[in-house]
Amino acid sequence: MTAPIRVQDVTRSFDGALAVDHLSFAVQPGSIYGFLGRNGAGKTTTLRMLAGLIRPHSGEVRICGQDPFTMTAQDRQWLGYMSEKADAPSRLKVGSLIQLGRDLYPTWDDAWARDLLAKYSFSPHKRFSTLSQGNQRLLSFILAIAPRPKVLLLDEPAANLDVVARREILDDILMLIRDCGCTVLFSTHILSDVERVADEIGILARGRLQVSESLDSLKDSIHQVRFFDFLNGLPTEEIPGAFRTVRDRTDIVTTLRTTPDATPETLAARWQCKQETRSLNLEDIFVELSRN
Amino acid sequence: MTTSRQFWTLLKLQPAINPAILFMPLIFVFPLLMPMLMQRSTPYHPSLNSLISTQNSFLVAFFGILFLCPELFGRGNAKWSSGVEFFVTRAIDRNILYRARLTAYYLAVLAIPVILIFGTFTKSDIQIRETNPANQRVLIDALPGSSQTGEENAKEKSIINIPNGSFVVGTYNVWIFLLWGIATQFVISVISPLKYRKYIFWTLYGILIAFPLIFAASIMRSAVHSGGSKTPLAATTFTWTESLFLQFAHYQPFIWIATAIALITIHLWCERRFTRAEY
Repeated sequence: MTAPIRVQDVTRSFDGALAVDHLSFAVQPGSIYGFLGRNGAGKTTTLRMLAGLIRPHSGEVRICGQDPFTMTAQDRQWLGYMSEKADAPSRLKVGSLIQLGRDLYPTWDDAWARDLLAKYSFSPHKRFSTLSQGNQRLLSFILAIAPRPKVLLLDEPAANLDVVARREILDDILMLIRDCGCTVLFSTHILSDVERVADEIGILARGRLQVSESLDSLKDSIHQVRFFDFLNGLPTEEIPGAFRTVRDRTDIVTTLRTTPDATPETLAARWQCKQETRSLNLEDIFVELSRN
Repeated sequence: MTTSRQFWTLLKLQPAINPAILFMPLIFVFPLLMPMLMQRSTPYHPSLNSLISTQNSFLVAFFGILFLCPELFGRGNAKWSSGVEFFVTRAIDRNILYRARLTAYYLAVLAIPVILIFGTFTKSDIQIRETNPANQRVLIDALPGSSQTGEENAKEKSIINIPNGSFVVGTYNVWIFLLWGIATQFVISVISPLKYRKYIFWTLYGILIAFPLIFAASIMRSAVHSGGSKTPLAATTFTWTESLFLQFAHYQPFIWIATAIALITIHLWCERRFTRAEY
């Protein structure tokens, strides 16, 4: 089955500065892909390319096999997008924006939209610009999910939201996937959100994808290892699979991906030293890979 | 959703997105109404008409930004959003979005000049005072149905009557507005993808200041020959604004066809550019 979201060897720069560098990944149908990265890592650029707002300079992005930049209105009915910015027209009222969704999307779930508006206490008469930042994000979220899209792109959906609203957004995403098999790609800084819902995680640093795999696999394969008590002095060779290594006079501390050829034990045996392995949580992994 | 339904949905939203659409066209009422009322009691003066209505070129160009691409030129308010990114990422064809904006733009620019044409039906004839015999001949040749009404030997009283002249002037004003609109649409499309678009636009906009001065110069020159001072009687002394009006009056069908072709061609080009733009 074709991946609904596919990014293939994509590069994009702005004024000569590389924002996304040979990025490739795919999101499988009905799964949630959490996109992590520091500010300026290239998350928003990638999402904007997938939403058809900008084009890659090389490589290709595909949504359900189509180029999002040239998608027709009919094809776009299946794509939901929530920008990191409050991008809806400032002067439009909540009711007008909902009516617009109703007019544009044959699949618009009006009952659900009404429930969501009631849940978050939206007045249809309020202008978008007069809503709080958090409510603007909630409304943008409702506008993105109420058409029941097949592919949902969310750029920092939980930014400026309180904990309760964040939880409710995540529940709504899960409900959408359960009900209509939606494929979701979302970027965030909030690691607990990713841990809660994401099937797969991609960590982006300086436009390059450092890892792209399931959370369990990530936690199983990436560890922090301290090598010490070297009998023959510190080795100078590159450590295979290492993301970040700190050496001092007596120790080597490295974050590495364990492979059958390079486990902490085999490396300690080769260098005739002791080793101490520490499991990392998602935040540790994210920090280690981003600082690399 | 059909393209026509998309179009009407988006067009209906334009006043809500940009309430200026409802009010700003009223700015055109006074500059257009004043020469129209004047020409009922005094002879029509094309340069004076141009001078009074040329200030509208500023507004037509300014409306261009407001309606066609407010997001590219900014409004000095970070919280304000025209919603282009929002619309482009909805189930909307980009070209339909552009057409809706363009329709709102031309409605705002052309509504008042077109409405004022209806006022020309009550007193449709106008008079032009012209003392230069060469000019008189050209005027009578250029303006269909026009004739000399003053005493032939009295130079000061040479009045040329133009049947349905008010209507011609009204349509001429619409045509001038349309030309400014097309030019604005074209310029905005050309410069929109450029890095320094904001500065380029405002520079060009500043250059427009020279236009009323050119028209003012035309009037001064026109006043000289209308006064019938030292101009050789065999030579025509029309200013370029007067010549433009005469050409328009003489070749109306051809000019409207050429304008329609220009409008469609430039629109298609601009629309294509809009659909390929990044946001």
